[in-house]
Amino acid sequence: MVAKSKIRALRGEVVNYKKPPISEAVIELRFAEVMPQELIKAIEARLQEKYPAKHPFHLSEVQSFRDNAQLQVTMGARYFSLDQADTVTVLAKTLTAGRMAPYCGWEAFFGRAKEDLSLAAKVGEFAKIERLGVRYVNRIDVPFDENGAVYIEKYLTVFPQVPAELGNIGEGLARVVIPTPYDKWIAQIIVTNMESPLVGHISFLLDIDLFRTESIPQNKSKVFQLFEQTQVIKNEIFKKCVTPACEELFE
Amino acid sequence: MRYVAWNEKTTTPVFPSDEKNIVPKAALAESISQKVMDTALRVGTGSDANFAATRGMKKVPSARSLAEQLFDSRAIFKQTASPYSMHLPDGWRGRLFAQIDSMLDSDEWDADDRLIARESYVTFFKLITLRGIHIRPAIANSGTGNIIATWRDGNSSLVIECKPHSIARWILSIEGGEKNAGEAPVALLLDRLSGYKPERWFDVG
Repeated sequence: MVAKSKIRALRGEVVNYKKPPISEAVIELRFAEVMPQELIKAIEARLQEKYPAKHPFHLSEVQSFRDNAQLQVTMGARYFSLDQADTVTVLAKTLTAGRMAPYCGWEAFFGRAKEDLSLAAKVGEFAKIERLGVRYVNRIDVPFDENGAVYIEKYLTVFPQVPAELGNIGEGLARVVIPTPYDKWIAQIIVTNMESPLVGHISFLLDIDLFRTESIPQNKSKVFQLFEQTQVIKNEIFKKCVTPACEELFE
Repeated sequence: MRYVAWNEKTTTPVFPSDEKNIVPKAALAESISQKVMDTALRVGTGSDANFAATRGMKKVPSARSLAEQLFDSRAIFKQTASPYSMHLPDGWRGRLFAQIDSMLDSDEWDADDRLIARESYVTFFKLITLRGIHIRPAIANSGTGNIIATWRDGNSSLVIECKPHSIARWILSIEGGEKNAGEAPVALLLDRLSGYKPERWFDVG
């Protein structure tokens, strides 16, 4: 557990950037079993007013082992608020609250997520919650220098690299999974680059996925208490992954 | 570790030789037409009723109702805004959303107009997040599937049609009679307009 005093102290250090780089924030509950159709319908009915745009989708996944291959298709739907920034995704085994940019701070996001994920209160009665996840996808837009290049180490402390003799990087991807010092929370950090939406920039994605699959309470209020901890943990990871020059980009 | 553009489009013009491929100004001025400019300057009133018809364009029939298509188009605009939203000045996002809601309202919409393409919205947001643009444009519908951004300064105006693939097509009119039209990748736009003191439209004070 993260001590409450530590949470308070670290919250005091939370910097609210003028231009937060968060392109998507997500809080997810994953269940051990598929939700019954009646429950999904009940959740959807309660979502419709707040999230008038529904986008059904299906995820296809091929699992193969030696000569056996299985195609798994999962049906789901994503609901969008009128301004398209707040989302709820309902899949067979997961319920997710999301926020697209502009990010309005943890308090606003978590407050809303709690409300929406509470729709799954009844879910706990039929199936065990087996995973809690909080994911922050940060997109860091860096202007190219006069030579059309950017040195990534000026902005990030985690990054893909090659020996200098191999020259420039066009596309890179680095992924690490680390146990955090906080109880059972595990962090997956992915850094990659992409074409920036902005003219004359390159964008680096810093994707922080914080999750736990052990010691998960099956009580709603305790689940949300655990989620509260992630504000501190993901902020700490973020701060360690970026440089002061990077933070200047958010002001 | 040195990173370079992984996609050439990021730093180089869309056209291999920008000047060679640029549409002759006379032809361009004709193609943009006074009609589009008038439409753009009549912000908030929707687009010209018969613009598509005068261009010989045919509407593609859709199984979805007009109201549903307009709802989707408003949603696409708002989704397209998201990756740019942190770079928009305070208040712009809300005001642009209010403008698009009004422009794409089924009561205001002319049934002959083409819905605005997502790619045009992308060009629009690339344009308004260019460094040096500090004044929010008024927006209008070209009637041909593109969004139009308009800036005014007294009797001088700049009208930019946001075409797909980051192409901006402009008509400007300077107090005193000078006019100019052109087309260029958004990345080169400020350079192309530099002779006309674009800060008159883009800068505060």
